[in-house]
Amino acid sequence: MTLKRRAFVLGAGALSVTALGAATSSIDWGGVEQESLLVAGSEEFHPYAVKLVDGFAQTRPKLDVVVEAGGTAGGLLALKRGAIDVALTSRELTATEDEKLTRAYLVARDAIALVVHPGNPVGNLDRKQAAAILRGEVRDWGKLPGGSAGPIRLYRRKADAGTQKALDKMVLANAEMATSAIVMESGHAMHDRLAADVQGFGFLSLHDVTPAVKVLAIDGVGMSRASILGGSYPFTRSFFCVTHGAEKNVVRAFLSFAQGPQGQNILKGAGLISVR
Amino acid sequence: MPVPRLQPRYRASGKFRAMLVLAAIGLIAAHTARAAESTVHLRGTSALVPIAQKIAEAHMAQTADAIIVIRTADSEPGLKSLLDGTTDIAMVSGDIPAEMEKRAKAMGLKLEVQPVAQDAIVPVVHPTNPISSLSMDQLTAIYGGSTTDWAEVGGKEHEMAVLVLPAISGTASGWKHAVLGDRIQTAKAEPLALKALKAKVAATPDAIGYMGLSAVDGTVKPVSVDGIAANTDTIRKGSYPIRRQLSLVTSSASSAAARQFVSRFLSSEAQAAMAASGLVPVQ
Repeated sequence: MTLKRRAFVLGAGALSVTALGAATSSIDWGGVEQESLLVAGSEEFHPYAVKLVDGFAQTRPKLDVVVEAGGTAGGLLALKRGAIDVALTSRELTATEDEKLTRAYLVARDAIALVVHPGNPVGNLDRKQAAAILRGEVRDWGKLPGGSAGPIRLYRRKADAGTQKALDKMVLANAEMATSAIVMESGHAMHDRLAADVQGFGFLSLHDVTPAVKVLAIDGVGMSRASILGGSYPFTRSFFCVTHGAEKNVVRAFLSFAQGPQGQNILKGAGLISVR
Repeated sequence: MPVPRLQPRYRASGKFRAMLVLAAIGLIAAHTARAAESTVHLRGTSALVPIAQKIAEAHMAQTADAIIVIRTADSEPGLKSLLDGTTDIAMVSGDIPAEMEKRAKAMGLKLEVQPVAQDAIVPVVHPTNPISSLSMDQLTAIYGGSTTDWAEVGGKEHEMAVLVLPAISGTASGWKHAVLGDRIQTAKAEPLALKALKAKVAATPDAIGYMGLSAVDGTVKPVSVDGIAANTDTIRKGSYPIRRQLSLVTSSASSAAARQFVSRFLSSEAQAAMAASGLVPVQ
């Protein structure tokens, strides 16, 4: 049964959503009290949401859960049609998405750090300069304020890495990164390379940052827990659990868990910034 | 509140002994209470975001376990979040929309409005536009749709591109109230979010729009109204005619931490910071 439901939620497209409406009503629980929690949405939030829902499921052994990606738009559509209980987003809702009965619970924040070698004299970039370096339009440190002449060696992650996707969206506004960029297999590899390469320019998720590398300020704002929560650091993203209309008991319990100490610790452990 | 962030049974002092008995639960509850007490979420008008960030980030730098989260939105979504329990303080430009008052009443909540600053709403045009002053009557005619060409107000002959902020913006309702009164806004007005509106005015020689004085920068040209330029002086004196109040809104259900954070906006440092950013402090 779980497989069948999973198949319906997968993709969260309009067709499967309609089909799910029919499927749930035909489920025979066989007299056993069973709860279900269907969660779908943002690809960026998904890996963290899986951990969050797993932690919640451990507190509720009888709970039948499904967590799928499928995209923010698909998730919100499925939510409003009643096909899922919680939609995941990695951005604020737009005015049209934020309907009267829609509630967006902020559960975590995250940020992308732009990183250089500690010996690099450059300490601050504006957003345009950051994007220009990543696109390969600025190729020499001497072209940047405070920089000493020498080629910029650009590092990147694989296209499907979460941090790369976050960078593409937040810093590059979905423009292409320079093809000359050297691919790093992991955040750790990126970190170690930047700690060793005085010409290097790369990026890290907040949880991979250590004092062995130098994080650049953006538009004069340094990256810190305070500037991420306050929102003045520009490359910040927010993760929301969204509900619509009446929230059934299991959904309320899940939201309390996500916003409570256990859920927040899970998200923090996964590298995000807790918001409670 | 749909989802209790604090479980009231742990908060109530009468149940405190039960907490001690159940040591494990007690520990978790105490942790929850502590975390929640130093947590405040704010959501609303971008006019207050920079100052809220300054106050929040300074507070977090001083207090290690404090969590202050700022979310930018229009005024109405901020109030909606306050009422549905997804934020603690709404940052609001202008008056509370009647619909939100009604919703609060239906939920048995009382909205508590704390004014923190005043701001002007300023008409803006492209930097090359020769017009530098418009009368209130001319603005009424432009936004009501009876004046459609720049030549009619002394500019070069060309159709105006009239821009407005979205209806859920407090600045939009403040503008409508002052400029249009009961008249209907021209159907040709294009609603855009603040960032997009500013970018469009900066890029379009025939555009006219409006925004809070604190949002005006070198990319657009502010226009005087009835010959009076908007600045902190003319706002304070009341001679600049299109003003709005910026407020923080909590409800009768708000936490002590939320109320305490509101009071930080009234400190002399915060009020001085507001004055420095082009707002007029209330104190």
